[in-house]
Amino acid sequence: MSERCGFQSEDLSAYLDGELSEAEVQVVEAHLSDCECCRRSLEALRRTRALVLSLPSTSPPPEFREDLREALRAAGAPKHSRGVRSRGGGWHRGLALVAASILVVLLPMAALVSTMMVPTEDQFPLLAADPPPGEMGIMETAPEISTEEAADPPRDVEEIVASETYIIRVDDVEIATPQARSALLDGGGEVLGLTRTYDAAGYLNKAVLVGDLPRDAILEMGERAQQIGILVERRREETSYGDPGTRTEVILSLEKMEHVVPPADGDELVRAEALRRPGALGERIRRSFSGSWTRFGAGVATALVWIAGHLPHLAFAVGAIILVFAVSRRGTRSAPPKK
Amino acid sequence: MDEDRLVALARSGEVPAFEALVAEYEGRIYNMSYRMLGNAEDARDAAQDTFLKAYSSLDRFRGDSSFSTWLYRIAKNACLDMLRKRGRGTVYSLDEPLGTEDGEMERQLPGDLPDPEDAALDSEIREAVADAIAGLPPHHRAIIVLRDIEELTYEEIAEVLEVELGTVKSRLYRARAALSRSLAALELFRDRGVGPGERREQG
Repeated sequence: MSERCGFQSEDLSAYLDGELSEAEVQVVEAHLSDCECCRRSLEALRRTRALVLSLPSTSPPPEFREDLREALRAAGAPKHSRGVRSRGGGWHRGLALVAASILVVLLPMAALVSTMMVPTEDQFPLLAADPPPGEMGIMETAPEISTEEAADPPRDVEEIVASETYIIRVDDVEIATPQARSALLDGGGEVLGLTRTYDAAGYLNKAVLVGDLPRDAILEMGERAQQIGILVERRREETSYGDPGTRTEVILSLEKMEHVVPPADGDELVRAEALRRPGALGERIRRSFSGSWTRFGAGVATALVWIAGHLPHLAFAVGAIILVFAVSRRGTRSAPPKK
Repeated sequence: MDEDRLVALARSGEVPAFEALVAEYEGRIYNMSYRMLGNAEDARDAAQDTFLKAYSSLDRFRGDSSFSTWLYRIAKNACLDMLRKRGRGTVYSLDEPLGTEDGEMERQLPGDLPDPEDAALDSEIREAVADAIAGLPPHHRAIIVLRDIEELTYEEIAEVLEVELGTVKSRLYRARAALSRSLAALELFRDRGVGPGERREQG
């Protein structure tokens, strides 16, 4: 019975579109000459296609371009805030905006303020919690934090927004800590978000860090993780968060360890505890970074100093940016296209 | 001025360059949105969103696909977002086997469709076709619109939808098969001299 003639119907559709190779066309045509069922299917497909093709083209209303121009004006020129400002983005865009803005506002402030202060272990418990140089690898390259280093922005904001970025999402407690955050920052990336979940007993059992990372850096990170045998999965997803176009999301799933770290005193404590545990994943990651990632050392430490030292500014910056964001959104919405 | 140059200028903040790109593409993007969403108001909003998003993320345009493909991708996302927001509450199952349980694609396609080449289509039929497209699951709608309205190649469609070439082929077939069924189900064409398709039991 023809209903089970076994022929790939999708080839009929592609045949219609001229999307088959010459050899495939010959197969289809040979089959069509034998199979009444497929001839009829082809005809039905042809008619369906022709009906759609016959639909008249519609045009945007005359005021479309003027409305768009107004909306673009309200959204601002991209060169002042590239890639982060637009109407109606999702959380992702909001975070990107906040992150980029923090950098814009924070870095000059950090440069100013840091000339007046010298980081100490008291001020930066995070640094104090770090193991001595040599033990954990990463600090080997940055045994000393100088004021000058703290004053220098590790990278230019313009460079971040213009760089070809990928997203890294690391689903692991130990990786999704300031360690990875710093790695992202130093690699020219941008941290978009960090979420943690806790189990019923109050123990941290999952953390997801989302950030942008240049392609090469993420490839390197994946290679490293594989080399030291903690890479569970590496996949690439084209993901849209209702965002412009798509983003390539590279997801590295790394080996998980037993989670016994209480979420008591915030990120730094969690990180410090995790990294102290002998043989812990965190340590291995640190070691792995210390090899080909040596360049991270100074930058990582510098970034941490800033983050720790300028939390008030950060809070201020976040507030200011959210305000700006809200206003810009409202501005866009207040100029709706005419009905 | 060629498109690459326009895109580069627009990236550097030249608004007129971007406006030139808008002028080039607004018709296509609007038409696509219109056929995806089924009404002028949503189409206008989606098209506007598309260009706003494109503008704000020009610096993320890496040039590894063509600008038009990139723009279509944004437009596709804008339309799907719009459909989600509109919250029709309809649950569609993408690429579900048609009408059969065992996963085997039902092979019979309806024969009772008008041949558009027989006669000029009247507005009633056009409306029915547009409605039938609007009644398809969003992903089927998208692929039909991209192929038969925007006339993209399979390769371009694969880039816009971010799927494999083979998926384009099979999804397009499924979408067309589904569309031909809904068109036939409208029974709009039976009295038009096209005649009901023979219920084929063999072939």
